[in-house]
Amino acid sequence: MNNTTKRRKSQIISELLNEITPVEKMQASTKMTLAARIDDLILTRGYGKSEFAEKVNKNPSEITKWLSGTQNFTIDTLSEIAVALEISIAELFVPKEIQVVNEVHFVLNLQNAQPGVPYYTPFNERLVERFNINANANKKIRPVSVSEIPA
Amino acid sequence: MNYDIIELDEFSGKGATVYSILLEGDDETLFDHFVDENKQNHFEEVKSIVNRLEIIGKQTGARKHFFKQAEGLPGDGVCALYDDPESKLRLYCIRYGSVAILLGGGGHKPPDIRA
Repeated sequence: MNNTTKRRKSQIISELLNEITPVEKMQASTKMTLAARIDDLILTRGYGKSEFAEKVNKNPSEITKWLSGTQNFTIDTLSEIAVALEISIAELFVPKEIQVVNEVHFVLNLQNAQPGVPYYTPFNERLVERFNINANANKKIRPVSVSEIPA
Repeated sequence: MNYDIIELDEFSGKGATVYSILLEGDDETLFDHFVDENKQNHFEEVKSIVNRLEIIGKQTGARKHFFKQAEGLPGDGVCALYDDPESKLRLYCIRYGSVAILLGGGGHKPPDIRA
């Protein structure tokens, strides 16, 4: 045996997953994603657990329960949380936005560009094609972000 | 003792990768053994843990607050995942941030006893 990582399917696990009803799945999923959302919002607002507990007038152990993914929240509790976080209750159920962490802006300045000679960037060769560089090119190409590049 | 680290396909996804251990000479992972040993007497609890693991792997990731920390010896990183709502059964795990977890065994224990 080589102490290596392998993937496999387990009959035991598959059978158990099939036993879980859609309601049970939805209940667990909602509790856990809601707990994750509240945790993220608390962090985003810069609160520690004790600080947030003080803000909502609860013990830190109560906050631990809220974030455990097993809490069956009442409307009243969600209202307290939403007010403390200065959002609407509906926003607690909005999925976390995927953040763009890498956006590239750069300027191409080609002098004496030759026709028929492909020019590539390290990021996306279509960027160069899009700007249709010709032999007399002596111009700055406007900055463009990767998000503008057509797929 | 030799072992393989097995990625559990049913659980792993964009949230986290879920692994368990396959000991040399064994056909089942530690997690398979946990399920076998407990499903007869604690079926709903095992089902709850399996449900939560799937959500951890496919959606939320292995967030710290989903687990009870410090369940092993000081500094060994062992934590526990419980069933919902009654927390009768505990599954011992090691978290690697929120992107990977390694599942061990576990079972029924009174809440005041640690590993």
